[in-house]
Amino acid sequence: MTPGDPAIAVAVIIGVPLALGGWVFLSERVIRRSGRNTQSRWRPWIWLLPGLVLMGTVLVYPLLATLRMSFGDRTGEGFTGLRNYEWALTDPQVLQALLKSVLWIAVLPVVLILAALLIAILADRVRYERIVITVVMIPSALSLVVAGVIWSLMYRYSPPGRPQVGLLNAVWTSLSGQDPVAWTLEPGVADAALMLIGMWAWLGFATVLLSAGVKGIPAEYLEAARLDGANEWQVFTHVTLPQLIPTIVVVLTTLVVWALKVFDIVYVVTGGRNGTDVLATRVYKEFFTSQQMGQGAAIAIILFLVAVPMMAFNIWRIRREESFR
Amino acid sequence: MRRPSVGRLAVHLVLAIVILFWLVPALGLLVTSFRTGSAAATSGWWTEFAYPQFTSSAYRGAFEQVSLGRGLLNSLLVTIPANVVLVSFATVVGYVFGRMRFRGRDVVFMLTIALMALPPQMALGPLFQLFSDLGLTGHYASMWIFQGGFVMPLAVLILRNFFASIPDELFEAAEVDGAGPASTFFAIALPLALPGILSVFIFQFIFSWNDLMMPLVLLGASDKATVTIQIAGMVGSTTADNQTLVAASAIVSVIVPLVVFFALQRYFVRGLMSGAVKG
Repeated sequence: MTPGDPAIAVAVIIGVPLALGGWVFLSERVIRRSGRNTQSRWRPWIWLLPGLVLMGTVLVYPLLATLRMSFGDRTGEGFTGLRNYEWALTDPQVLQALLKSVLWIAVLPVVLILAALLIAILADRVRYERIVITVVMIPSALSLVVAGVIWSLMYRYSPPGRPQVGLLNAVWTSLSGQDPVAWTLEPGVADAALMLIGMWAWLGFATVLLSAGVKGIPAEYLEAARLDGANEWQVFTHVTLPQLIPTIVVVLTTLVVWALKVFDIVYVVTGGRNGTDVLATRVYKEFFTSQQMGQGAAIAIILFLVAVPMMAFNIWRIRREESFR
Repeated sequence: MRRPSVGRLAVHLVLAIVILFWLVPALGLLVTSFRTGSAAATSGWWTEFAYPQFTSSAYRGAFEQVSLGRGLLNSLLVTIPANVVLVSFATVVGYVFGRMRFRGRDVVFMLTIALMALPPQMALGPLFQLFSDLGLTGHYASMWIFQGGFVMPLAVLILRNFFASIPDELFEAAEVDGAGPASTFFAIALPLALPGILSVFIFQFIFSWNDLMMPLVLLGASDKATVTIQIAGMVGSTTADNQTLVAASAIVSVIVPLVVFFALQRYFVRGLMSGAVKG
């Protein structure tokens, strides 16, 4: 770190808000000369301009550039038609990564919703609810790298017959009498092991939202159902669940996006070995290990296409909320 | 209405298991960080309680060998300016979407929302090349720009909802008093939106502190590496002997986010929720 860096950081912290404020202030003085109608037409766009430039640079430009790269050669330049896509959709490693990503987004969010629902409802009935929710929320303050470190320790493997160093294997061998399992090395098992880390990390988020949803259900509905003779299960399926659907949908889509983007957990715990590679780690490897820009971009676009339904859904959801304003 | 005691017991049991399942792994990390290297290599961390040999040597090693102190400083130098940038830009954009009516507003707003789910893998290649060409790779500024901009859609959504929910009367009164749009923004809207701005800042601060992929790409394992990069690098080269070093480093790296989380939990949770569910 060069000596001037902290100073530059401070300059940015103070300067950027000031500059933006100055932009707003000065632009107002300039357009004040025009008529009110002209002002109202131009003002929003002037105020928006810096933000749009930033988003354009960091979001829109990369998207378009990646698309262009995906039609290029290994440096991303030139034009090779659909060759990179052909490669991506026939290469066994890429296909496996695609499969694993689909596995992540199909399995993990559903399991998380079910678990979070259970915990939210149960916690609602005890006095120490705040403690439960805080505890499951702690992992959301930790990086997925640290979560990977924590669980790498849990998954540690010692050869059979030796005392087990990892907690999971120690419990497993003493309870079942079987040999220890190399949780992060066995194909198949490793995927589940990684997804468990994701579950540990993300349940807090799901529980907090579902808990708020559960508390938002008017008590009269539940009372009415119970008075009508419904048992707890029926109350759950006929009152609680339908009321929670909007919240569940929001949590589900967020989790699907997170599961699709997952990189840290796989990178840190297994490095993508033994078939655990997902699309995100594959893209990284193509770009930075194999130095194959065109191929990396093609996989990235495939990832993007899988994410498009989520993007469309977000638009639809926000628009719907708007119409209820 | 009396519930059967068996059901009651089951509820407590399930919740107890949940609490254990969430705390025990973290406890393992904490205990491991205080063990000697040879102890960690040969026995499970729970045995430490029977034959305690606690030492803080791993922590010393973390600061001396891994330069964790520098990593912490780097993390701060990345996250604070980046999130100031994010919040500044998102506040103005959110205000425009939330309080101004103009042709094309909804279209641009929807496009912004669409970008919320954009995977960061899109940014990997092009931004790395762009920043390389500009000579910014290996500099904090590349992260300030990236983190400042990439999460803007979510921040804009949250802040726009905040501004939109300010009662119209306040703005009408200001207009009657002759306040111009800029004064209204600075004097009325901004102070009212402070809680929302703070929520976004805190919530994104933790996320950017914990980010791995883009910092790894833009800063790498250099002298500007954030703690997250440092720890990820250590796990890769983990032998049986440096478990304690990794553990101690990990513990140190989470102190700042945890303190922020516990001290400002309300803001953090609100930020988390308002992005997902309408405020």
